[in-house]
Amino acid sequence: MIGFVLLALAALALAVISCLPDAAGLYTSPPMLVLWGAMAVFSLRYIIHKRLFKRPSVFLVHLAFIVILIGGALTHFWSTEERLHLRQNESMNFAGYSITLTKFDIVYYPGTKTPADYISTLEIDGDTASVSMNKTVVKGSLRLFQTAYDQDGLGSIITVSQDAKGTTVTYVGYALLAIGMMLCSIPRRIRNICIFISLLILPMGASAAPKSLPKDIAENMGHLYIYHGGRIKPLSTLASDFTLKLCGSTSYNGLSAEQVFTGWLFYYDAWKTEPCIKIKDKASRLAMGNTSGYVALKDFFNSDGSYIFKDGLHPEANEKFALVSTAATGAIWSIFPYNSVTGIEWLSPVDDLPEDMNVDQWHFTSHCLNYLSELINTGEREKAYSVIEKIKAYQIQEAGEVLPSSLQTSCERAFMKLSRTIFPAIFVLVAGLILFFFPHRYVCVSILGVASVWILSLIVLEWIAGGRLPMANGYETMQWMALSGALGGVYASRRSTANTLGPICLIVVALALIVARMGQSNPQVSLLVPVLRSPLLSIHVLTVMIAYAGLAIMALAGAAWLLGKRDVLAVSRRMVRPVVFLLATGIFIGAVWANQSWGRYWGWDPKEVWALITMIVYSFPIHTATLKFFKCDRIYAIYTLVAFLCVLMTYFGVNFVLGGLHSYA
Amino acid sequence: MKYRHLFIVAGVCAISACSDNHTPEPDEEQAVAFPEWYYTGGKLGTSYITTSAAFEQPSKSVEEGGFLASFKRGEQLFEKNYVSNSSGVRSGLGPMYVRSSCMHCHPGYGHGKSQPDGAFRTNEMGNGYLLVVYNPTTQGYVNWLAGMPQGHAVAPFKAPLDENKVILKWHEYTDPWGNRFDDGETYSLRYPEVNMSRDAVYAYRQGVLTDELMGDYEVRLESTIGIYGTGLLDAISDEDIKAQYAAEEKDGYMPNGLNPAVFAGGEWKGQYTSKEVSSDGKTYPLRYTYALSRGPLQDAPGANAYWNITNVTRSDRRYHYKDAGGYYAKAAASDPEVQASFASYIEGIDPDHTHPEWFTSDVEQNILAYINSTTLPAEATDQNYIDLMVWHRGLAVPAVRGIDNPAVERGKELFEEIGCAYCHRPSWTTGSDEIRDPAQFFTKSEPGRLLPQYPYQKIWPYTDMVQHKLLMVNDIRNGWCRTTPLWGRGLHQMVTGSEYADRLHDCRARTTLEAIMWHGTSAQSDAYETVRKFRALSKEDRDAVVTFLDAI
Repeated sequence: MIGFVLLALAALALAVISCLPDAAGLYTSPPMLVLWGAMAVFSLRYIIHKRLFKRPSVFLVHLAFIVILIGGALTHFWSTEERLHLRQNESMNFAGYSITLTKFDIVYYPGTKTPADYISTLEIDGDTASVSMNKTVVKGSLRLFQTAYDQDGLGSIITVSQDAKGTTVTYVGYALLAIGMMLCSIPRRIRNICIFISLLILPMGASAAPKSLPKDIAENMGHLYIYHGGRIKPLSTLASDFTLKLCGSTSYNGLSAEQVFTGWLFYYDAWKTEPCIKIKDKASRLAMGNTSGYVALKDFFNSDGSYIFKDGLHPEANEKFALVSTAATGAIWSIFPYNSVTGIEWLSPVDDLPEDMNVDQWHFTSHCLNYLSELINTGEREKAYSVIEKIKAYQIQEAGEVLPSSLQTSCERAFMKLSRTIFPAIFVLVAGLILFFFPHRYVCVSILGVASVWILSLIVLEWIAGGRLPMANGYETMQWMALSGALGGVYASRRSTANTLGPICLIVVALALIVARMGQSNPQVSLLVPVLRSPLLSIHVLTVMIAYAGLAIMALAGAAWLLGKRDVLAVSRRMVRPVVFLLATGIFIGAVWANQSWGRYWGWDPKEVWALITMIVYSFPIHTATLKFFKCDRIYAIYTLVAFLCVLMTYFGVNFVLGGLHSYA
Repeated sequence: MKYRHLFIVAGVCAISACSDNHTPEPDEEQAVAFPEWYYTGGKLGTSYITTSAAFEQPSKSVEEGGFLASFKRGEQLFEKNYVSNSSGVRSGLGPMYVRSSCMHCHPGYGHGKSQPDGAFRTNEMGNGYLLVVYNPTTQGYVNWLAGMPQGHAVAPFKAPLDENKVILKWHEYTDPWGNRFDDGETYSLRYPEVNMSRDAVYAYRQGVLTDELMGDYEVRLESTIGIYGTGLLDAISDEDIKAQYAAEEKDGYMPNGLNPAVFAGGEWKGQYTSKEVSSDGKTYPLRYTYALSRGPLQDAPGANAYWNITNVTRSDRRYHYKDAGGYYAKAAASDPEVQASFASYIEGIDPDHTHPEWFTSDVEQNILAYINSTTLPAEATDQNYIDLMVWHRGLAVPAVRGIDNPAVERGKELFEEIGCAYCHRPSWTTGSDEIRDPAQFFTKSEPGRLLPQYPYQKIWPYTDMVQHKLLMVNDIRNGWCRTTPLWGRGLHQMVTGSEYADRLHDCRARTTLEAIMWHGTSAQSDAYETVRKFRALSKEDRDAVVTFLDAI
C-alpha cells in the first residue's frame, strides 16, 4: 500500500514540477530522487510480500520497472555528457580520442530549401564516421550525436556522452518489460475516444459572391505547382489551406478555394470590401467596429487610413492580414522555378529576379501573370487556358526532376478535396449518439466498417502524396486514432455482447475526426523536420495513439456507466491492462528513439513527464487486489473518466501550455 | 425494427447534411466589351495585374517593338543601388549625392511615402521627398544648396546637408467647415512643417556661407510621383497642350487664371529649352514636375535624375550636380580633413592622371578643380542611358480596377458633374508621338536609339497638364502646381506597402477623402466651388467619388 502511496505522490510531484518555470533541474532534485528510491524499495517489498515471482510474467513486468529505475539512477550519477563545438578541419581531444570534423552538410528535400537531414562527417582516431540526426556513432564507450551547427556551415556541435552502464541497464529493463507484457498477453481491443466538441461551421449568408475567375479556369490553375512552406505542392493545396485559414471553410459563398485564392490576385478591389475574413478574437472584432464573425480587409484600417493592429497585441488579426497581403501583392505566387547555379529557386513575379536570368525567362516570370490577367478580363478563355498550360510546361522544363509525380499530385488533390469536409465526422457522431440510445449492432458495425475504409483511404492518399507514412502532426495522429477506433470497434463489437460498445466507438471515431479537422489549420502533407525522419516515429506514434484511443474508450465507458448504460464497464475493466501496456510500450519506444536522436533516453521533457504520469495514474486500477476500492464500479467509472484529463494534458496541454521539444506534434 | 433502423439512418443523413456549400451556377462567359476608359493607357500602354508590381509592367510598345532586353537592363539600373567604386556595374556614385538608388524615392515605381515626425531620413526606401529650400521673398530656390539638396557624400567628402538637422513635424488642421460634413461624418487633416537650422549646411559650418549670404529661407516638401505613364503623357502633341491652355484662358473658369510665367494672351510665355552643351536650342511646351520645369520626357526629370540624384556622370553630363553658388566646392576645398585624404581619393578616381589639374601641389585648387570640373569621364555608358529611357518610356499604366462596380460608374458621373474633371481632364488622344529630343541624344544620326512610342492612343490620365492654385496652408513653393495625374494612385498602398494613401504633393492626405477636402480649405482655391458641391452630395455619393478615384 505504501508503495502505491509513494507512486501517487511521485505522479503528483511530477505534475506540479512540470508547471513550474525551472522544472528542468527539479525532476532530479534530491527530494525526487529519494522519492523514487523509496518507491522502488517499497515496490520490491510489495513484490516479495505478494509472492509475485510465482506469476512469472507479472513479476517480470514489475522487475523491469525496478531495473529501469536502477538504470536511470546509474545515468544520473555516473554518466557524462559534453557538447563539443567542432570547426571544420580542427581536431579536439576528448576522453583520449582525437575527433576532427571533416565537413558538415545539410541535405535538402529535392527542389526545396527545407532541410531533410544534418550530417557531420568526423574522423575519430583515423576512422571516418558520419553522425546525423537519427544516426548516432558509437566509438568505444563514447556515443556521438548531432546536436546543432554553425550558421556559416563550417562548424558542428556534437554531443558526446559516456553512459555505458546506465543506458545498457535501462535498455535491459525495456527488454524485460517487453517480454513481460507479451507474456501477459491479452487480446487487444482498439478504440478511440476523443472528448472535444468543436463548433460547427455556420452556414454563410447567401449574398452575391465577389468577382472571381470562372470555376474551370481557377481549377486549371489549381493544377500548377507552387512553392510554399518549404514544400513544392499543387496550387490547389495552398488554395485550400489559404481559404480554410482565412474564411474558416474551404469554400466561400459558393466559390471554390481556388477561386478565392486567385480572386485576391486578379480581383483585389472586389475582395478587399468582401467580409470573408473570419476573426475569432472578440477584442479584434470590436476594434474593427464589426460584431459579426467576418470582416473585410478594409475593416483593418481606421478612417484616417492607419492600420488598426499596429500594437502587435492581436496576433490572429495580424496573421490573417499578412496572409491576405502575400496573396494580393503576389508575393506568395512562387510558381516560376529557375535553375540557377545554387539549385532550383522558386520565384514569384514580384521577387527581385536574378540578374543573370535571360530575357525570355525574365519576361515570362515577371509579366506572364499580367498577360493572363488581360486575357481573363477580356474574356479570351482559350488563350488564358493556353497561358496556364505554358506555365505548367515551364515548370516541368525547369524543375521536372523535383516536382511530385502525377500520381502523387492526383492523390494530394484527391486528399485535399476529401479530407476538408466535416460531413463524415458529423454523420458518424450523430449516428453514434442515436445508436447509443437506440442500439442496433448491424447498423453500428456497418457504419464502423465504412468509416474504417474512408479513413484508411485518406491515410493512403496522404501517404502517396507525401511519400511517407502520415504520422507527424496533430491531424495525422488523430487520423490514426480514428482508424484504430473504427477497426477496433468492428472487431470488438463482434466479440462483445455489450451493445453500448459499438456506439461508443463511433463517438470516439467521430470526435477524433473532429479534432483532426481542428488541427487542419496547419498545412498538411508537410515535409518532416530531420529529427522525425526515423522509422521509430511511426511505431511510437501508433502505439501511443492506439493507447490514447483505448483510454478514451474507457473514459466514455465510465461516462456511459454514470448515465445508466452499465454493460460496457466490464469491457473497460478487461481493457485497462492491455491499454496501459500499450502506453508503456509507446513511451519506451519513444525513449529509445530519443536516445538515438537527442542523445538521452529520458530528458524530463513535459510530454515525457505527463505520459509517465498518465501511465502511473492508469496503472492503479489494474491493482484491484491491493487497491480494493477499485472493485467498486462507481469508483472505477469515475476514476477512468477523470483520469482522462491526464491524456488531455499529455496530448494537448503540454503543446499549448508548456512547450518543449515535443511541441511540433 | 426494419423501419426503425431506416429511420435512424435517414435521420442521421438529414441532420448531417446541413452544409455551407451551395452548388454555384455554371459560370457565364466574362463580358468582353469594356468602356474605353477601362484602358487607362490606351491599347498600347495598359497593364492588367494588380500585384505589388502593378506599376512595373512593360507596355505593348515595349513587347512588340523589340525593346525587352533594353527594358530589362534599364529596370536593373533603376532598381539597384549605385556604389562609389570608380569602375564596374553601377559605379560612380558621388562625391555628393541625394540618394544611392532610384528606388529609394520611387518605391514600387510609384509615389513617395509620407515620413513620420523627426529627422529627415533618406537611407530608408520610400522617402520620396525632395527638400525645396527657397527664398520666401523671391520664391526662387536658394543658390547655396543644389535644387535637390544632397544629404550624402563619399569619404573624404562631407554631405552638403546634414539631414539630422532637418526636422519634419506634422500639424493637425481644421478647415473652415470644422472638418465635418453636414450629415455628421468627420475627417481629420494634417500638414507637414519642415525646419532646417543654418548649421545643417556644411558650407555654413565651414564658414564659407554667412547669414547674409544665406538670407531668408523656407523649406517645403515635394514628393516624387509615379514613373508609369510618363511616356504616354509625352505622346500628347505640343499643339494639343497649347490648345488646352488657350481654352482655359478663354473660358476664364478658374478664379486664379493661368500662371502668367507660362501662358498669357494666347501664347506661351515660358517654354523649355535644354541648357546642356548639346542643346538643340528649340523651345518646347512645359510638361513635367509640379513647377513645370521640364519639357519633353527625353530631357525631363527622369533623364536628369539619372545623373543628378546619384552624381553618376554620362557623356552629355560631364560635370557634378552641385549648388549654383559654388559654396560647397569652396567649403570642401578649404576643409583640412578633406584636404588630408584627397590625394588618395583622387588616385583611385584617376590613376592615370588624365586630369593633371587634380594633381597639382595646391590641394585646395585640386579639390576645386575636381568638383567644378566640366570634363569628367562618363561613368554611365550611353547604352546605360538608352536602356534607362527605354524603360522609362516603356512603363504601362494599370487598367481600371473594379470597373463593373456600380459605385465606380456613379463616382465617374459625379466627378464630371461637380467639376473635378475641369482640372483633372479625364482623357487625351496622343499625337503621332515623334520623339522630341532637346539634348539631341536620341535623334542624332546614330542608329539604334529608338524608344517605345504611343501614337494615336486614347489615354485617361485625369490631368489637364496645367498649373492651378489650391492655396493650402504651408502651400507648395510659389503656389502654382501642375494638376497631378490621378491614374494608378489607388494602387499606392499595394505597390509601396505604405499605410496611407499619401496623396497631394507633400503626401499630407492620408486618405483619398482628405485629399479632396484639401482642395477646398481656401475660398480662393481654384477647386473651392467644386468642393462645395462635393460637400452637398449624400454620403453614398461621396463614397462613390472616392471609390472611383481609387479605381482609376
